[in-house]
Amino acid sequence: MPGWHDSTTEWREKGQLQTAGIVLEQHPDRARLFMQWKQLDWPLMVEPFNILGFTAVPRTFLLDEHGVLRMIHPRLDDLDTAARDFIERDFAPPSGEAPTLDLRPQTSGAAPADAGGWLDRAMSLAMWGEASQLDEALAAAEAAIALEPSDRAHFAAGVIARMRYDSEHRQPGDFAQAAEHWATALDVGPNNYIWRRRLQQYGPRLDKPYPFYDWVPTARDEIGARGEEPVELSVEPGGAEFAQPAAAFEAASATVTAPDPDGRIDRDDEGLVSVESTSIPPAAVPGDPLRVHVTLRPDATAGAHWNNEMGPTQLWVDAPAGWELEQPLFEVDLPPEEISDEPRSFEFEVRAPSDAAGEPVPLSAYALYFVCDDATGVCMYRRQDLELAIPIRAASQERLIDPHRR
Amino acid sequence: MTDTLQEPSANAPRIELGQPFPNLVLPAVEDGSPRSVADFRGQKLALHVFASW
Repeated sequence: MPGWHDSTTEWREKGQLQTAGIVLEQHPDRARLFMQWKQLDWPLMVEPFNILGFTAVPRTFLLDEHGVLRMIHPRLDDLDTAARDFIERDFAPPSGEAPTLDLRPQTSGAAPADAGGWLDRAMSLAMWGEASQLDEALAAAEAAIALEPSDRAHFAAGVIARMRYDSEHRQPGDFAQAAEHWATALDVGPNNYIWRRRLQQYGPRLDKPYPFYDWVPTARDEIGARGEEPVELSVEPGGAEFAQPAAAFEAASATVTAPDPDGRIDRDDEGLVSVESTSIPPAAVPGDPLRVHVTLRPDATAGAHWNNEMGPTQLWVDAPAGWELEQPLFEVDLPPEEISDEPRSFEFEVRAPSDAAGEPVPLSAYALYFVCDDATGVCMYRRQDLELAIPIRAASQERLIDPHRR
Repeated sequence: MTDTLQEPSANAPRIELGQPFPNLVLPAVEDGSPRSVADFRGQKLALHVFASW
C-alpha cells in the first residue's frame, strides 16, 4: 500500500485520484496515529466487524468516477499500463445501483427475523450507539450465533466483548469471552486471516507473524520531533501487541525462587483487588504455547488503591506437571506517584506437553501486591491466588498455530 | 491460502469488477460522523482496506 501510494502522488496532485481508507482493526485510533506518523491525510472510516467478509487485509480497490470497481489490488507493475488507463479513461455510468450497507439505527423496533438481522443489529449498536449499549449489542450478537453460529457472528461478538472490556461498562470475563469468540470464528473459518490475526495480536510469540504495534513508540518519537502532538490512543498497546515473534519456545532454565512458597502472606479476603485472566488461545493445543493475560485492578467501589513506595507487584506462576514456562516470576514497573489505581497487567506463556489430553488442566498462580484501603487508610501486603482451568483441544482439531509458518 | 476476496458464505454484497462497489456507510475515524463510500463519487478513488499492524 505505501509503495503504491507514493507512486501515485502525481495523479493525486493533479486531482485525478483521491484516496480513502477503511480501517479494519479493534482500536481504530491506532490507524490515526499511523497515518499521522506517515503524514497521510486521507479520510478514514471505521469498520471493526469485517462487514464485507474480507478474507485478509490489506486490500486496495480502484473505483471509477461512478463508484464502479475497476481494479483490485493494483500493482506497481500496473502503473504505466492498466492503472494509467484507469486514470485517463472517462467511464460511462453503470446501469445498476450500488448495494447500500447502512447499519445506522432504524426507527423500527421490531425484533430481527433471522441471524443476519440480529448480527446487523449487534454491529449497528456497537458502531453507532453509546458504550452503554454494548450489553444490548453483545446480546444481539449472541442471538445471531444461537440461530446460526457463523464465523462472522462469533468474530463480531468477540469485537463487541473486547469493546466492552475497554469501556467503563466492563464486566468480569469480557476479554476471555472475546478470546473464546475469536477462537471459534477461526475454527469455523480457518482460512480467514482477519480472524487469525486477531488471536495472534494477543497470542503467543510462536504464533506471531510479526510484532503488531511495535511501531507505536517510534511513531510517537518521530511525530514529537516534528513538533506535533501524537494522536492519543484510547487503549495503550502492550505485552503481546509489542512482542517479537519467536522461532522456538524457550523454557525457563535458571532456578527462580518463589516469593511466597509456603503461602504465608495473608490473602486479600477483603477483595480490594479484582483479578481477571484470559488465555489466548482459550484452549491448549498439545505441544503448543498459549499466552495468559492477567490484569489486577484495585476495586474503586471498595475504595482501594496501590501503594507504590512499599514494593513491587508480583505474579508467580506454577506450571502444571509436564507444562513448561518461559519465566515463573513477573513484576510490573511501578509509576512514580506514591499512590495510584491503574490496572496492572502481566502476560506469560506456557506450553502444553505434546501428550496433553483429556480434562482441563488447572494452572495456578498468585499475585502479591501492596494495596491500601481508603476507608481505614491502612496499606497491606496481600496475596491473591488464581487458578485457570485450561481446556485441552482434541488432537483431531485443527492446530491454531498458523500452518504456513511451520 | 486461497486468494478469495470475500468469504464465500458471507452474507454480504459481492464485490465484483465492473460492478458498483457496495455503498458502505461507516463512522469517520476522527469524530464518528457518518461517511459513505459514495461520498467520493465524481472522481476516481483508491480505497484501501487495511489495519495499522
